[in-house]
Amino acid sequence: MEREKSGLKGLIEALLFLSGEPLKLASIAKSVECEKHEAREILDELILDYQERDGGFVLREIAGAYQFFTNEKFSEILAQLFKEKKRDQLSRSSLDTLAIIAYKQPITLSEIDDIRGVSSRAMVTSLISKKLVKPVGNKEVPGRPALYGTTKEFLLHFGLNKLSDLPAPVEVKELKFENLDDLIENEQE
Amino acid sequence: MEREDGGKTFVVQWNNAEGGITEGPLSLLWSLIESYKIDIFEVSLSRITEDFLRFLKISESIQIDFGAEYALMAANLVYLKSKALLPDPGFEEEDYDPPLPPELVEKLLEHKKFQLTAQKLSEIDKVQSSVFARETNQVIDEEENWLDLSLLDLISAFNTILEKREEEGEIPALLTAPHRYSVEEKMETISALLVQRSDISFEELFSSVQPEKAEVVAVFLAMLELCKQRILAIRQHKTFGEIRIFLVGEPWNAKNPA
Repeated sequence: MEREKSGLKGLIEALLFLSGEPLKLASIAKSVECEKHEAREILDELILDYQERDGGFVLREIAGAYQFFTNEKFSEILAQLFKEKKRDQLSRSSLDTLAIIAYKQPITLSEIDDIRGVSSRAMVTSLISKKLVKPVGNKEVPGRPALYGTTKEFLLHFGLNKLSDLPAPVEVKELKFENLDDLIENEQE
Repeated sequence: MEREDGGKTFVVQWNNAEGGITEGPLSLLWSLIESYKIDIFEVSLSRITEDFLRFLKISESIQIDFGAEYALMAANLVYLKSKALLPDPGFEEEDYDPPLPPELVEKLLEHKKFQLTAQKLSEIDKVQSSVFARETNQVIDEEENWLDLSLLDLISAFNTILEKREEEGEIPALLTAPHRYSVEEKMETISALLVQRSDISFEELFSSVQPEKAEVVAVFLAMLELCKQRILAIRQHKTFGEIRIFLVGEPWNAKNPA
């Protein structure tokens, strides 16, 4: 049994190595003919193996699919070596708008404007054309304004597996202002 | 930018990592509050209103144009200030200096929260922009990995091709030798290609030597026609998003149309 598992582990590793596309759990399990939970276990192990090895590349689960990626710690050097391949970084105002949408989704344009203090229509449009943001419905208030949320591309862009992997939003408490507790409590209500 | 007037000084950051005055009126207010070096709950409403208005005046004199948002914020501040100065029957103190109203403080804190969070995202963005995935052409052969795609996807893929052509710069049609493209001719070429390869990518159909727009259109129409006659299937890969053309029927024959 143990031997069989190590064989399976090698096979899955080989599959991931060879594959030019991110592989979903279901398709891995199907390809190697094992149960999903078995595959999940092995994949978790593999991720850990590469993490511990801390070498040139690691296995990551991004947007629900597994793929090999270069180690983050080399990103600065790789950026210089592969200038062509490096993708553009987002501008400050884009990131501001994107942060608000990511943490408060679904959210309307006027709610975004309110937090940023400036009109964000152009920013949202450019984020939509970058496929990081999409309309996700309408808010059931007069005028039925469009609600916006993040896309799968957004997860890929930031190398996240799911939305809950986003870093915790900066709590304003960290700004060391006193008497803030009351305010934050109000916010949570 | 610095200004001393009547003994009071304020400094505003033009632009820094956390946003400066060009990032909107809320950032400007933060810039002012930071220059006071006191707690946000102790900031005097009248002082910040004065400074805000004075700043707008200065920016006018050195000809910087700020948007309507700044004017709106100025009006809002004056309104809040006048409201706070109305005599309160239960409250008697001669020189009462009202603090910032809680709704404005809350707005400012929320604004700050997302600016700081955006900075966090910016760091991730920077790192991830140079994390590369392994690249090979190997694809696991799995029938159900391919989805039938919608017309909208097809149109957007077509547009991508046209856009790519425009980037490369098109020679005006008048300067090129006249050539008529027929859909039939293209149908034949596509069929022949598919017989050789059994499946090709959508881009490959168009990547022949510098096609003209008219040719691209002909190829596209030919592809649709073949699809309609159930000779080929156009599918998109589930995870990869690549569009490929598969031969599913008998190759098209001009003499013996289906």
